[in-house]
Amino acid sequence: MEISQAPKRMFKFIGETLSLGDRLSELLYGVVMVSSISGLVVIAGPPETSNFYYMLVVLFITIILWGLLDGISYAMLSAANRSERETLVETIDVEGDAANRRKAIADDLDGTLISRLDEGAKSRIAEIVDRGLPRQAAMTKNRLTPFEKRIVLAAFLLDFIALVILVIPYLVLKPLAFAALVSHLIALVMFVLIGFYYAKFAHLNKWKGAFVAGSLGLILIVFAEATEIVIV
Amino acid sequence: MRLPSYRAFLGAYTSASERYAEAFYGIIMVTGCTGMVSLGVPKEEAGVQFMLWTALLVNILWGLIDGFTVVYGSMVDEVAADVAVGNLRSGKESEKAADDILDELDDSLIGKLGDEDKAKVVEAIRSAEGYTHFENKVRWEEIKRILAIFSIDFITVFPVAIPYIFFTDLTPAVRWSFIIATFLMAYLGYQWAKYARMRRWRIAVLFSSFTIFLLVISFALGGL
Repeated sequence: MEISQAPKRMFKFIGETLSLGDRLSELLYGVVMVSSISGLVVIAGPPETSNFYYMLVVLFITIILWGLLDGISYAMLSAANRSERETLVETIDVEGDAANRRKAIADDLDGTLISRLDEGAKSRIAEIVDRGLPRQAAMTKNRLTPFEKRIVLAAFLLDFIALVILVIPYLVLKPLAFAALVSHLIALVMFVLIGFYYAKFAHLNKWKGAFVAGSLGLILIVFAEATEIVIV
Repeated sequence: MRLPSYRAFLGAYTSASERYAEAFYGIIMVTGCTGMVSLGVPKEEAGVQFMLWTALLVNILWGLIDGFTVVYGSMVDEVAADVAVGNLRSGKESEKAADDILDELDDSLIGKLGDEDKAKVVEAIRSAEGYTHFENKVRWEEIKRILAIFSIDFITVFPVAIPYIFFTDLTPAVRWSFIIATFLMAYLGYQWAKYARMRRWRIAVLFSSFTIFLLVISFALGGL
């Protein structure tokens, strides 16, 4: 594989594994983690020149751990949702009353796009589901599927992207506090951009989205910068 | 006047799996951030108080960010599904639209159907007489969902932060906080795995090992 193809393949993999909403959320979590932890390191790190390496080590450990934790929790969420669905399938399977079965199916579909269809279409779909659900297929033990394992990797990679962007100031600027300030300002811009795109793809007011996300980012960064003053 | 039940409020605005996930995030955030701060603050009472405030502020902020991202993230996905339905019904990129719709419905009972039945569902959506487009707006219901998520993150601070209320010396406070977090994570992992019908003890050990690993890092970096 050519090196130039690697980022393209990585983005394709992430795009295929996580939904657009999840991708934006993951990126935002990465920015939150890197900026808050780097702020805390400026407060808590050793005052010597080794600060730079200390910061890099802490950020890499944090983001690796966070990426893994986040990915695992995503996969667990997915596994729990699957278990919920299996329980529902088993309940529907043993329910003798057709009206109760249809009601359980309608309730499950109510939170999906099916709820926006007309009544006739909803009832046709409920009928297809009622007839098509697997029978007597009790779930014994739930395991992570290969797709859920890919989710762990995709979430991890997205968190890592935020680290790569926000770590640049620490590589080129000195002293550490100034590099942290620049990194935090980049994080603030990322907050605004993510808020903008959240709102854009959610068909909401883009500037309001940018403002809300930017405000949250600003609180986080002011807290990270101001706590140093409190301690000193 | 009867006060509304908090349990009913959470039940109405979050799923069981979401509640487990939010508690997980809440514990990890407070443990990770207090572990990091503990390296640099004074070891006396002022340091303990600072840790308490850090724990509270971190989780307030995290709760808000998490609540917003969950609500906004699901809105983005609902709009994407809405666009796919529009494309399917207008005949624009029908094949891709059908795939996107089935992806969106995969977490529902439709995900359990065979390919033939899934194709019938897509056809029923395409030929439906009426379809109301998704109307996107942050309403009171969405705000209540954000508050429900925020409240879980916020509440999980307290068991982990208890040592910072009662201890005056930082070292035992941090150690007790990590011990509580470890047990909480094990309990959470066990319950979550039980709910998801996975191996309970394996997940409990995996979850508690996260906080133990955070503690080890804290020691390695010269902490308590």
